Amino acid sequence: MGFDSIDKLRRGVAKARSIDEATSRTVSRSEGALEVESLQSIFADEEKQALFGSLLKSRTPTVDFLNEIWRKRNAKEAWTPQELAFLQVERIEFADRLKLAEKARETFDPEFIEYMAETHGAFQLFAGFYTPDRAAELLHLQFGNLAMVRPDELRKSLKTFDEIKKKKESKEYKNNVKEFEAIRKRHDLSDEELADILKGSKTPTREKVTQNVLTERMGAFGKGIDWLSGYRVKLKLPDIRVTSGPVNPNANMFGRIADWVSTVQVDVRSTPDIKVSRGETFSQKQAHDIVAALSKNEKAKVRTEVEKHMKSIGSVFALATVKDDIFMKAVSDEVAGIAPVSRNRLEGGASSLQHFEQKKTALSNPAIQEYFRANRDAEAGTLYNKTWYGLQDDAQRDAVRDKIISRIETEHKVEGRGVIAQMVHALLQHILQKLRTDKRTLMPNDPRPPKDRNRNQGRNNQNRNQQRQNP
Amino acid sequence: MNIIQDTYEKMSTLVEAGDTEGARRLLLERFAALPEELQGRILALSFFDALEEEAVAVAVRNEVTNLGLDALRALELIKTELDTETQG
Repeated sequence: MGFDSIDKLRRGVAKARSIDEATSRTVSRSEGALEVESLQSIFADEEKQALFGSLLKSRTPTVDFLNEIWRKRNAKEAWTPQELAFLQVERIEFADRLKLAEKARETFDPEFIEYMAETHGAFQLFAGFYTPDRAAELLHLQFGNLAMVRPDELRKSLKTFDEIKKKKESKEYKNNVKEFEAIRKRHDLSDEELADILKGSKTPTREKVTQNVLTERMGAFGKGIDWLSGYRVKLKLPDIRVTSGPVNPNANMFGRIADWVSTVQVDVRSTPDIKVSRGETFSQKQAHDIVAALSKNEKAKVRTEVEKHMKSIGSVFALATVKDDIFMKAVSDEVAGIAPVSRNRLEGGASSLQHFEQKKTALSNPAIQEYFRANRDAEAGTLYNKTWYGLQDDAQRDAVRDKIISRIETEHKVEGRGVIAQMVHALLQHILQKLRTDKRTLMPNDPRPPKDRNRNQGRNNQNRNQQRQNP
Repeated sequence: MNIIQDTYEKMSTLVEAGDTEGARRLLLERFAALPEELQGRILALSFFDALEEEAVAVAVRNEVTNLGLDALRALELIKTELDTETQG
């Protein structure tokens, strides 16, 4: 059975019946108790009032309904039972969202934000405009806004953090580090030189040097693994590792591993879940078989190769374990370009460029008005089966305006999955926010379409002419 | 035309032409002149993106350690075997 908005409202009223305007209460939730503030206390705090306003805006289908609530609040008039019921339900949601924002602030504390800025070059470029404390403060403010209007974005990032934490603290990883330390001590496998190179700050020249060294070291790491795999294949021993997903053979080792990890799907970035089937453990007997199959000359060559590859693998491995932050920075710089922006539009050629030219003019105020006039009848027809001038009241006209703004947003959205495309969209949303606020001014309810006036004018002239010809 | 609209239009052109680096550079040049609210939103987007990168980096790091350790163990065994033969 479906529920319409009245059913939902009635259920909301039933839920909220015991909560009155002036009292606070505790609501039980599966994730623990939730402190619900009174409406009075929310409205008494300027910051909370603004956040509550954002939440209500994002959850109210009709602007007039919300405007009326606000008008009554400022005029100190009583709310209707329907308005009060709505607010009472929403204050529970508000408490939930405040809790989400608080969780984000606790999880992404200033120390973690500073670590992220130090290890992620692209983020550092923006965070570098502020002191670390100010950057954290700005982000924490954003978490409050996001909890109100885009809670899923915040929940997703908290989930990603949990996955990172789980992987960073996994028992397998800790055991690997311990075992590596033992091997490193036995064979002196540190590589301070590489660590120092990767530690350096980013200048174009240094970046090039760093990239070359990184590619060379990761290449050597890969060669070490390939060399060993080659020997095992030659002797019909099981391969070291079977992995799924196509791998770009031209990429360096980080790129190849990133391919494995992501199995090409960029979506995996949000929930990196490695699915690899492991090869058999290399045994003492297999090592014995390899060595026994070698001639005396080959044995000398193999010894040199083994020592060389142990050094190469140990060098990168040391970064991944002993100098974790340097390794993370190197990898994140390397994988930053993993989700390139879609070039579909560009590939569309002239028609795409033409489309873009149309888009460009459509954001200036006169162009918005022109676009609105050209589309309002069609949208009014879709929503209410009427023309724009046949609409009943301001609420209907606002609904048509909102529909047209959403259409502008869809048409202007830049295609692409990368963060830069998201930033362009943030700029667009900022522009459209003003349009939404001032929609009645920017998309005015002008008295009569000029076309009708002209048509009437034309008809009058024709009548006059006829009269002159036929007195 | 205000700076936000101009930045939006220029960045759109660059992104749609596939020049994301150019778009990033342009945004960085104008970042300080944008309203604080918008700066905060862009900073948050960049932070969440870094978080996704971190997730990939952790996964890569774990792969490297698994792969590297498997190989090191094997190489050490071959080396030990060669040493034993030489001594024998």
